[in-house]
Amino acid sequence: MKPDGSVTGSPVKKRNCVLNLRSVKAGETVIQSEATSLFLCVDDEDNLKGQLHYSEGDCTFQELLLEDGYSSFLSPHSKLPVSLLSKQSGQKRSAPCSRFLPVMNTQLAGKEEDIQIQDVKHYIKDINLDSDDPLGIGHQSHIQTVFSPSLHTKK
Amino acid sequence: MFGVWSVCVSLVLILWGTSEKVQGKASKLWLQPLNETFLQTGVFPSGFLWGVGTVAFPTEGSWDADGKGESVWDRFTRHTDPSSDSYIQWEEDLESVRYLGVNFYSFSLSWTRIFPDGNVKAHPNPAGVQHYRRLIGKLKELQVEPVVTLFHWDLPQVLQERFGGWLNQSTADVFADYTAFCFRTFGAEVRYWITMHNPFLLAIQGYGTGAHGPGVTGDPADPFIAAHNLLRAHAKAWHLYDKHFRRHQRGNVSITLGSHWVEPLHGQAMPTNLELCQKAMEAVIGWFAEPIYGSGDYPESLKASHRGVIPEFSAQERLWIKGTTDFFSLAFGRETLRVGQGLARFGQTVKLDLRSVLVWVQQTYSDPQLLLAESGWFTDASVGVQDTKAIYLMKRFIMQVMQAVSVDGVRVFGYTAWTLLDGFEWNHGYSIRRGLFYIDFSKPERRRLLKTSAHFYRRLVRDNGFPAENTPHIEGRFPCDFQFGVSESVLQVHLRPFSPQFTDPQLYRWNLSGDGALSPVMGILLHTRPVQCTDFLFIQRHLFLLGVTGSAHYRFALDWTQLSPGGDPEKVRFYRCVLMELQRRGIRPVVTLYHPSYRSPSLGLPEALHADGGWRNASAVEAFVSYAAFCFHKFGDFVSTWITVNEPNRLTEAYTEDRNLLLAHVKAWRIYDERFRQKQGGAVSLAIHADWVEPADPFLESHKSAQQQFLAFEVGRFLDPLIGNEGCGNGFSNAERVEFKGALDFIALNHFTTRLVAPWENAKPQKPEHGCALMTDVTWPASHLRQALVPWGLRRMLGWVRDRYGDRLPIIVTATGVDDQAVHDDQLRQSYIRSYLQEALKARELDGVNLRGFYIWKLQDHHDLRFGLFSSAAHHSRPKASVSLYRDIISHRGFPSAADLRPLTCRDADSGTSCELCTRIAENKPLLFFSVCVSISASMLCVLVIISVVRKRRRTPINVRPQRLRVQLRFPMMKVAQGSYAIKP
Repeated sequence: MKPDGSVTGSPVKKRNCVLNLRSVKAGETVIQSEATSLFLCVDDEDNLKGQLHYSEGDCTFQELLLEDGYSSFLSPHSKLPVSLLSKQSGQKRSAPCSRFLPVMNTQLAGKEEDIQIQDVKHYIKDINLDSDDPLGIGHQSHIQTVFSPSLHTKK
Repeated sequence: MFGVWSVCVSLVLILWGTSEKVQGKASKLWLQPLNETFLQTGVFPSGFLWGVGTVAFPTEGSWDADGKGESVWDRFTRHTDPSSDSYIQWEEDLESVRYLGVNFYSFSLSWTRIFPDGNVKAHPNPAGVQHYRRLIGKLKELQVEPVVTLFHWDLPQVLQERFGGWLNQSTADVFADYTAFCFRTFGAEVRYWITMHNPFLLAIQGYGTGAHGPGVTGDPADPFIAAHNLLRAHAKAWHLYDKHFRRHQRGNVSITLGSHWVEPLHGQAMPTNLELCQKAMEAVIGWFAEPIYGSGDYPESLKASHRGVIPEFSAQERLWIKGTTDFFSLAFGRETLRVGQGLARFGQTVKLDLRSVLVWVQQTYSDPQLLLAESGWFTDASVGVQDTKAIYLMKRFIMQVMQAVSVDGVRVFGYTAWTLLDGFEWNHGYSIRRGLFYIDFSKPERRRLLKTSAHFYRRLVRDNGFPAENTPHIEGRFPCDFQFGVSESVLQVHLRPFSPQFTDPQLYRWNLSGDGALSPVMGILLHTRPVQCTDFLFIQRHLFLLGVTGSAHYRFALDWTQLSPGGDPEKVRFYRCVLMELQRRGIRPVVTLYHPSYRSPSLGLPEALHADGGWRNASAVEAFVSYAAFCFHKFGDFVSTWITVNEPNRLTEAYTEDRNLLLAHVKAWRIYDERFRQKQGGAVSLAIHADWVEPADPFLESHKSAQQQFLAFEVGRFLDPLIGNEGCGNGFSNAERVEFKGALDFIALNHFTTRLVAPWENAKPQKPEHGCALMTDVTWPASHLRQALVPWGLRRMLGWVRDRYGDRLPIIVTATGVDDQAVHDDQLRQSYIRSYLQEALKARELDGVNLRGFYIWKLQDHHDLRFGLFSSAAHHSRPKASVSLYRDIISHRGFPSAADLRPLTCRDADSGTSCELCTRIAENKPLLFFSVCVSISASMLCVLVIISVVRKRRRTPINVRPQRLRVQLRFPMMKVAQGSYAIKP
């Protein structure tokens, strides 16, 4: 899930890919992006999107546990399994629906260095001219952590 | 004053002459980025002018006092309070200027204070004229040069209402009359005149967006008309001065132009991007600079994109406008950058890069003399007199100017710190502060309070830049027992690739003449050789890299998750093989028992321990101790230096973890001391992450104590209980204190970088526990991961440790290094190794620190974290340039003087001391060999002579039959051996 709310599948693990699953009722799950705090919802055309505010009718998915341990999620509108394939790709319904396997989050909790490195890269990219600290001299999170190369050995 | 520059100038021109032919104006600046320079220190040329500036509208206040008329900004903001009260307290201002010790004071005249309704034909307001006379007179008295801006945006409101301000051509004539009056009245005392300040902002904000006074909006042509009239007004003023005043007054007149800076998006210097960057620059600074410094007309790109709205200069006008300045006056500030980012970035990236702007101006407008008339940032209104961040922004700007002057040869002759006082900052009002002096706007007395940035600027002016504080380079060698090493993290067990040799006991028959097949000979089994270390192919490959570096010391960590009492013996054998191979190669190992890293999901702990809460659980201590004893037992014969835990201070988040980690170390140390030391004679320590910190604001006691607090927390909380003096409570019982005391054989420090430290301004957060805020000095050269290169930080860190713990224990820097993105030519790392080793030498030689070793972190890259001396195995383990540099330093054992450059050979201390004869023999090896050869050949010769003499005497025929027989006998055997049998490898 990108910060603009668009939702796509990704072949690689990224911070954006970490979703927090919470059960709200038996078999009903609310999905929230860890990085952007956007809720995963469906719009009127049954497309997946991220939105800031939770609404029960759009953002509660029914979770079906499959025999092999994977699960699929049913859209709150159409009750059809949701798919991560892009709807524009023309494969609309013929595409196999996505199956999901909830896994331990190895992207955020144990991987502080990734966040740090990303923060740093973010600072390199853009300068905030409205800040009295446009160059990131102090008080940013990535500076507050004492970074040690010997601990942060990337996997 | 320009005379000082003449030498410099001619030099630059010579350099420039060669490169000027490159086609396309200045676009090469983006193609070839400026020389990356590590230049950190240096002073400006003598005669460089330091200054500080203010502006009338934000500071003077008294908007209608003593007959002052209303300006467009008075009307636009309806601001009536005294601002900084400078009209009244101007003497206080000059006291502040005097305190700073600057060479010039830049200020602007308030037009309506001199001509209240803008009407220059009327009598001037005597109070206003008197005010500026006094101001200039007092400056002269203080020997501070006035730099006077005639017009800084505060147009008389009457002119705006009567003529439409700068949209009317006649305003330029009125302006010219006003400037003539000022030249006549004040010109005798003024060397530097600025006709107007940043007309770009006035045109765009005042007549386009409406964010500035007079706030005209609507017609897209307005900014261009205003700009057109502003340019004419400037040219008129300059010609006036040139014609009537220059001869007597000998001053210089210019116009201050604002600039932003843009770089290709994502750093992609493609032709289209370069063109857009050039276009962006031409749309802001070029708009005004090109008519004056260039062709006399607007830039072609601007004319093309605004055809129809942009007015035209006649050919005559172009000639008349061109060249109407005596030097280049540049403003580089937030407002122009912001507007430029909004209106003129053309999809590219706006950067805060003053050095590039200076070089761009140098290249585009034929290397002018340049005054930086405004440069600086701002702080939020809430920031008081401790404006630490402002210090580093200012430092960065000035350092960029220094680099532009000394590296790129830009002819900057003066720098203006912006500004002297907090004031009513135009459309931002009191929401931002820009002064070196603080004013509390809620208090009527408007006292000027010194900010720490003023301290900083004062020191900088006094020093004329950044003189080197560091001790200059020293020459000298490290002693023979100094450990030049390489450090690695966990050396993973690599049982594969595995190439067993001589393990097949079968004998084979090889049918060479037939089908060439091998078939086993049944019933015969040969003896095979036992398993060998060479079977592990990884070890040879890995240690080969180490050999290339030339270092005889290697630090690596065992994988705790793979080693446990009763575990897989093959893994134990793997590490034993590593150690044996190291021994064979004469490389001394330093072995870390537990090296936590994020590479492992359990942080390097065995899974079961991790699941039980890791170090929060006391059971981890027991597990570690038995693991340590196991390792001492299995590997101790080969290892003389042990590290129990690597960087426990990076690992812990809770007090219990601290305590357990410390306990684990102490217990492991005790076991070694009791059971292994006598036999193995090694040393045991734990490696502390010890980056240096400097007080962010060197002028504040609170920051100095934050530094001590931080260091005591980072380093002290582990080392104090072990080797510190009494009084480190830390919540340990008396018995524990006794147990901890002295449980360390040497001090191991991992040092990578230096940071700035400050106390938290508000409430202390829960995390981090050291209770300090960290900052970074943006002028320090930094790596891709923003690790700053501060070599002297190492020396200070070592000094601090020595001061705190005495020099009883030796110190080893067990890891130090930097990431560098370069695939081969890792300039940053080379500079790091050279400079950090140099500081290590200073610490030894000058400070008497008992430093025994220096281990580069690390041997090999791991994916895209580029700390390695070699690229990762996936990139074929290629050596980077720093390998040969390090090798070179090792072979010279440091930095010997040029007269003594031969490599120093150190004999192995252990074997060398055993017998004198051995050393004699070793010393005279070639001679001995030669004499042995000579004696052997001499004796051979003797024997030959004797034999031939004896044979000659006998002269009896020799029976040849036995010889023949022997040949015949041998033949079938050979045939058999070649034909039928072979041993399968």
